[in-house]
Amino acid sequence: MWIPACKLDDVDADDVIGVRHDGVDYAVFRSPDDEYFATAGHCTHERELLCDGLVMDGEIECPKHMGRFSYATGTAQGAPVLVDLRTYPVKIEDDTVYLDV
Amino acid sequence: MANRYSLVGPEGPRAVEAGLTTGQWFRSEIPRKRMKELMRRSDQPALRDTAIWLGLLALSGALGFVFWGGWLAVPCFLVYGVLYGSAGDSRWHEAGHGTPFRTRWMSNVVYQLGSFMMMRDPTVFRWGHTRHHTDTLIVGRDPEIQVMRPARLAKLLANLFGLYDVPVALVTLVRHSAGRLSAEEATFVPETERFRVYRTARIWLVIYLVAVGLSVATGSILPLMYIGGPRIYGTFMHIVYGLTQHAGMGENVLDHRLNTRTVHMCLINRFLYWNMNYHVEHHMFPMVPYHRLPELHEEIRHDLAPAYPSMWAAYRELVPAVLRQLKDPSYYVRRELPAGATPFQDA
Repeated sequence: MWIPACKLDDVDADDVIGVRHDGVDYAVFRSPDDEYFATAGHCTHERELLCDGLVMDGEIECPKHMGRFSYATGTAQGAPVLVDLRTYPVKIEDDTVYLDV
Repeated sequence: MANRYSLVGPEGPRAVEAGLTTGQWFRSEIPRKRMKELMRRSDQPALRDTAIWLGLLALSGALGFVFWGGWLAVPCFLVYGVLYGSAGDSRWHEAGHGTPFRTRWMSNVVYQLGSFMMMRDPTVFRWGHTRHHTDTLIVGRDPEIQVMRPARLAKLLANLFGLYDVPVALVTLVRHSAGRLSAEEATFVPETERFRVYRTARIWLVIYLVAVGLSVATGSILPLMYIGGPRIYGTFMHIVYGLTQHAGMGENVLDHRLNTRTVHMCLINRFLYWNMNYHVEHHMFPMVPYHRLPELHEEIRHDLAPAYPSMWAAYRELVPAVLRQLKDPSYYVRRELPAGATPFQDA
């Protein structure tokens, strides 16, 4: 099911925003090259919102314990995160980012 | 008496049941744009500080060698010891968070070095410190509660010279090198990470055995003045700094403003302690590198209880509080948030 997540300009380049749909949190990323990605909203280590974290070099770093994930693939990059992050397909229509949840 | 601070005792499940381990900690509101600036990584400040740190270590160590046998060796090894056994702690801590450098391998190198100096297995203590940030001063969950209620004063004082921590670390080193974790360590170190613990312990054991062997062979303690020894004779400052963080404060509250101190310190202490005197700020936003913490302090100070103007001021509060807790363990320092500060629902 495709859901509208945000407008293109809602996310700065090389940054993330949090989106909530139907009580579920997602994180929407915009790369420095203006590509869009989406993952689950919470860290897999502890229930911490990733949208408050640091985006750097294609990774999102959790704001609580600095667990890092590739935001394109969801791959956990080492302690303290050992479980990959779920990712969601993204499409863009007009100026809106849609997630397939 | 059962240790209620044990991670494998009844207090941990009680804290979970009370919702203390899943609660949302208080954070001041900072616009995302400003937060991104504060979180931004840079190599330059930490490279400068690390060059000064290692340079002074090399210089004081070399002078200590030259003057060995005379009184002039004392100040040289005092400097060497504090840089190793005290500044090693803050380097271990900051590099463990991965925030001081932009380049990741640099943080890893400093983390491994700090871990070795402080005799803390890098894997076990990484996971332990992770728990400390999740469950700061939550009884039965936080493995880093330095001052219990009532305090173990003899242990605290002995640790000014590592006299509790070092023997425990050496026994732990032997246990790890034999491929075993303690029951407490097993509560927070995942199975898949344990091989690292055993590998590191075996390498360190060899280094310490070589240092001891050299001492025996040369009939001098000089090799141990450089390796291992500073964790005893130079570690007092890391205890002095560390006690200001949480000693005498409230347990089981989900607001760092109420269980953590920020203390103003002079430039030398801030260098040795790598700005961890901004401790409320660090706990609230662990992503902010040490060199941006003074700015973060200015950003959120309206939300915080007043910072302590000096270490002296912090100790004037914490020593009587800890002594009072010997008789009345229910006592703790109550901090008042300033008028207009954002309230916390559990405060």
